[in-house]
Amino acid sequence: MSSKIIKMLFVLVVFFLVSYGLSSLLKSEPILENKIVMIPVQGTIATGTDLFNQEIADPSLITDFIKQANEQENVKAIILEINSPGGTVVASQEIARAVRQSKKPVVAYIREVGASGAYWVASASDKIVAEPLSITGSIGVYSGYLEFSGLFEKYGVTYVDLKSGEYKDTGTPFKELSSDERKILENKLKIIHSIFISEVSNNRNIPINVTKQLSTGIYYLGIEAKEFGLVDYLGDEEKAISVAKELANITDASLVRYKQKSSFFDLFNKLTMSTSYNIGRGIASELDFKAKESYLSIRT
Amino acid sequence: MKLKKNELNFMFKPKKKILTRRSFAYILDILIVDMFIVFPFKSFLEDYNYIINFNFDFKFIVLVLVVALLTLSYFAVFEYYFNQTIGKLILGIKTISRKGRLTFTQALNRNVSKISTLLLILDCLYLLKKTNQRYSDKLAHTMVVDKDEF
Repeated sequence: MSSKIIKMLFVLVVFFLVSYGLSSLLKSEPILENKIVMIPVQGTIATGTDLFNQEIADPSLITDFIKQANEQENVKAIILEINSPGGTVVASQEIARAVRQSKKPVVAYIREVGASGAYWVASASDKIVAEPLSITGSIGVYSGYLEFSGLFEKYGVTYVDLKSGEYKDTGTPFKELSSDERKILENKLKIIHSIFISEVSNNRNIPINVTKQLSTGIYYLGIEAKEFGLVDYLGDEEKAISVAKELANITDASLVRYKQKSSFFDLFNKLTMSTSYNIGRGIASELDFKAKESYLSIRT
Repeated sequence: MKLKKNELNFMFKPKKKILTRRSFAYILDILIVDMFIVFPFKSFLEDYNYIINFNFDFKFIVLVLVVALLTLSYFAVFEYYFNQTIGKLILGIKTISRKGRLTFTQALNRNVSKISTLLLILDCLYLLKKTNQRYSDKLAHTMVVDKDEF
């Protein structure tokens, strides 16, 4: 019996050596040596999940991708493929921070839209490549909500306000915003805006007064952004790859696109949610309601 | 003696039910395969953990095939030479042929479904017939029995 066990262990060791040998062979393969990783920043930048399964650029996932790319020796550069109208402040800042802290060169490639928070992320990269007719910039902060006080008044509904702290219910949709409260909220937006401007100014080496002039919240086309120094190059994916190679000081590399793995249950979940949502949309469109577009799109 | 159609020269019918032991043996074997065969490729498989390449990635396909073949070889080689894998050894069960000595082809055929989880699940449905056989066992004329019973 014991000689059988020894033989089995010997065979197991042989298997291990064969696997190790084959993996070493693959490692020596020159094509696998240099890689450029493309990380998608698609959809609204926000934490958590969207109820209607719309695409969200999750900062935890993206920062994890950047971390993974930094840990892998044969990854020489990172390209962020940006197609996002922006998102929440904290989420955008998280990704921008991870981009700045990356040890590998990062190129932001703005495809269709890279505005607001997405531009914040792009500005933290080493270089930005934008499609000439892409939408970028929109360096501003926006907040808004539906306020129902008028509607309540119309139907004789009263809002009962119980609070401790004068401004505790500031921003509640059930009452009109007072001028004091408006000033408070707008002041907070100004603080965020000034931080946004300061970060873009530092990241892009544009004087702060110039950045302020560009930061009215208006969006720019790629060609305009290039003139203002908000992007470095105009071009497509090939251009982004070429810039990445230049920054990494390599001539050849294979492109690896990172994307979150979906399990069977994720796919099943998405399918049922998407189906339910689309049935709802279909019913709503029959009732003559229009779904609101998630971001501005320019069509020819 | 010429065999009649569907008649085997080996009429052993096992008495002990070993489904639980068989399941645990498989889990142990998968852990061993993971440690000794998949682990050296870990850095490559991690690279691909997050990716979907839009272009056909030949290297990744080759990598997956190599790992699958090595996994299949583990089961086939161990069962051919020792009638049991390490998992089966620990759980006290073994693989036998219903037509004399277990051949390498039989060992290979009965383990092919292990390269795919879906195939294996479908294969295991045959175990519901309580024959100590998966469907691939039936096709390969093999069965798994308690080591002391035969």
